[in-house]
Amino acid sequence: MKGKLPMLLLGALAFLCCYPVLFLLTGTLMDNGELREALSPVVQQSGGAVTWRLLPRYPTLQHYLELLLDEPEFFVMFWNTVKLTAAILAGQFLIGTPAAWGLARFCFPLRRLLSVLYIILMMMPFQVRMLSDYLVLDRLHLLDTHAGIILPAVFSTFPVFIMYRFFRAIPEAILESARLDGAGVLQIFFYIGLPLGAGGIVSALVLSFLEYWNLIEQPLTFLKDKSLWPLALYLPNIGAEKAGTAFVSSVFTLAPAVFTFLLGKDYLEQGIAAAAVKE
Amino acid sequence: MKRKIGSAFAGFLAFMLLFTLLSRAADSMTVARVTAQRARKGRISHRVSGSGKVVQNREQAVSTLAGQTVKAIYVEEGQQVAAGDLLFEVDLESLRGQILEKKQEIQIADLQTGDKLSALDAQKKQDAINQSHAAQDYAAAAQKGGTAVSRAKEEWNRARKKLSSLKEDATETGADAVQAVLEETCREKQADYDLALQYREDLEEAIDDLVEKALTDAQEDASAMRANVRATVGAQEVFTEETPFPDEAAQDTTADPTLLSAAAQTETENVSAEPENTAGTAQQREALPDGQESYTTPQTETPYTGIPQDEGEWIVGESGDQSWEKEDPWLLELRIRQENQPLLDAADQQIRLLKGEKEEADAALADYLQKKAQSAQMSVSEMRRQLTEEVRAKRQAYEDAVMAANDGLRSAAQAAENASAPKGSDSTAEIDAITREQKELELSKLERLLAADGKVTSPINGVVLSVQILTGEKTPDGTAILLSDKASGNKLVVRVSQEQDAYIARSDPVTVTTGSGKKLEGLTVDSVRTDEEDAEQLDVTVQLPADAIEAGVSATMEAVRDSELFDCCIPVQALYEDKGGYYVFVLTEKETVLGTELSAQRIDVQVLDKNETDAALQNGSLNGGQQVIVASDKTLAQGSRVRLEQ
Repeated sequence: MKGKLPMLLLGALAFLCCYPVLFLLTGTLMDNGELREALSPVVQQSGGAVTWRLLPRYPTLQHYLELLLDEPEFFVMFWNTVKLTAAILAGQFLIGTPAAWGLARFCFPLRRLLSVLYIILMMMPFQVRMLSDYLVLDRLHLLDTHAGIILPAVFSTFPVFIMYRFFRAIPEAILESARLDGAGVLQIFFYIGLPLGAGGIVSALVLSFLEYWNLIEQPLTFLKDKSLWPLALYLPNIGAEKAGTAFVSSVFTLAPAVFTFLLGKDYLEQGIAAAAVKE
Repeated sequence: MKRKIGSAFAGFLAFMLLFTLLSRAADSMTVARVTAQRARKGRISHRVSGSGKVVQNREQAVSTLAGQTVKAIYVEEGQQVAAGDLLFEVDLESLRGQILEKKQEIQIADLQTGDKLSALDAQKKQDAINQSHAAQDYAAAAQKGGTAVSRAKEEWNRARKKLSSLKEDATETGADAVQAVLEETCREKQADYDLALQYREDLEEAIDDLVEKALTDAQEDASAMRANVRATVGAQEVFTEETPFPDEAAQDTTADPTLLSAAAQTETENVSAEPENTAGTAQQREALPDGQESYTTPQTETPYTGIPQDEGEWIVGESGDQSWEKEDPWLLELRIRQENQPLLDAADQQIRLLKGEKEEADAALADYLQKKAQSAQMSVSEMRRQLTEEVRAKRQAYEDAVMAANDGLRSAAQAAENASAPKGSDSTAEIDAITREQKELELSKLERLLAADGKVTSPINGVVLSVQILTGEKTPDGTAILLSDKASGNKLVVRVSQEQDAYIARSDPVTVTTGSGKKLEGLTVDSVRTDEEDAEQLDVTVQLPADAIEAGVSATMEAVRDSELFDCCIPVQALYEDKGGYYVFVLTEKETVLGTELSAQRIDVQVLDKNETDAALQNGSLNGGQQVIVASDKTLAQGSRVRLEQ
């Protein structure tokens, strides 16, 4: 009995957290009339509060068909998002991992200063860097291109910071043994650093995925061509009369994040814990 | 577990990839495929064409008298005939019957005309007799009234005179004075009676003279009118053959009809006690028509002197000059005597009255003498009272006579006025003459047709266009056979829509093509007129060269008129109409999630001119680089996504 009460409380909280998702799923199955009736206090400013049913009165898959067959724009944005996220994650893996290894395992002048600078940059929100990013991208003629989104994200400091923590946790004795056995710098990195720091790498990539899958501000700022827009900008362009389509698009937007979370939830906890540990 | 999740993730991506392709395919099916082109400079050619039939320029109608029975028809529609060719023939039996009938109608009309003239003449005579009788009645009334008034006036004067005589002699010889008055009265009455007898004799003599004069004049006029009388009134031949004119009497008679006027005047003088009553005949004629004559009051003492005669003829004079022109002598004499009989009657009445008065005066004198002898005691005052009473009674009688005479005169004048009232105009004779002339004209036409043996021939060389008669039926009132004149040439008449009116006009060049492929160029439009049967159509006439195309052949006409040079011409199928205006769709590029897409943008334009293929737009309606959608496989609307097909 003692153990059940906390479980009930936690279950209630879990349901409360998951309720928006349930709300979302119910909305995707409602027809337009029911949606209009339920959302009228919000959409038509008719007063009162939104009433929501857990089960729709007239369930329909109409909105799924409309989105899947009549909205090619959604798929353009979906694949734009896949492209941006994949490129960013790949770039971060290629760039961030060596950078974190270097900061964690090499001694060179101003290393500590550089680490502090990394942390400072990580702490800066995008709104602070937006103007400078814009000017740089404009000089590099990267505005209105996916590269203008990808490149700044590739060199983000947050994954480096996460992976730095994991690489720093590798015992020096292991590395010394490798050196004694004649291993070179690259061999130590690929055969000892990456396997031992995989958790940090994955957790950094999972966190980055969740961040860049829902990227809004950078595309809105740097992309004028709508054909380059990511999925996060699709919903703001859907009117109230297509609320059902908006619910369905939210479901499809949510799905990759859920899959990624499920795949990397073990590493994600480690990464979050690593980011919280004081150096 | 993680592998399953990974597989589900991969399946999700594959699912999304599949529907990416499907949505693209579905989208491409909904996008309209269009073709577009830019506006160009050009002219709008208006081509007016139509087909019609070649006809002759002039037609001629052949007709004959209506109501003839068609015996045979020798031509049919489309047949060519020469001048003089027999067209049709009418039945001679029926024609002869009509001629006979027409002649009889003319004879009947002549007889009816004679009867009408006779009746008209008789009516005129009756009117004259009525007028004469009215005048006689008026004269009789005047005579009678004048006599009564005069007599009453005399008696009144006599009574006054007796009273004054009594006043003068009252003191000395009152009784003798009365006797003297009575004796004087007896003398006067005797004198009046004698005068009346004399007047009666003079009047009879005057009537006899008038009769003789009238018979003489009638004989003179009869010789001149005899021929006419014989021609018009056969019955009057008895007058000349069986009743000779009294020539001897006419020769001996020198009396003027106006003598009776003098006699009447004399009578007036005799019966009138006043000098004013002897006014001349002319004065009487002038006074009568106005009806102003009347018996005056005793103070003015101007009694009646007028006679009602409008034409200024005294009663007897009119009878002598006009009334006996066509009468038997004995009838003439009888009528004259009848007309003057009232005068004789008036004279006889006057004689009877005067005789009665004379006898009364004698009786009064005898009575007085008897009374004088029997009652010498009668006082003068009593006599004065009696005389005064008598004067009053006589005056009253005089006034009554004046009123009665005026009433009689008024009634007689009214009757005479009615008798001489004007009659309305009568054009019966002229109308009969016109009707007879028309019948004679119809008769002459029938006779001419009979002379041609009932055959009707063609007056010209031509083609029979229509035959309006049927064998055995009656000929119509209008055209029997319609011919076209070959000598006048041919023309092509084409019917086109009224909407083409702006694009074809007189002198426009046209090309004419026959059904067999023969083409005539260089011709011009001769006329463009609204069709008489259908106001929505135009009749376009093209004169054809002589002998170029035979009449009756079908041919087509084509006229082309180019407009001015327009800067902005588009195919007409790119033009849409809405609420009386026009618009086009142009291609516009739009940046969307799917990339640069083409869409249709509606632009309202003003059409300057258009034909079946092209339309000219107002300058500035389109930009130079804009492509106008000229064809689409789907219905377009503002903003429709389109896909350009090259």
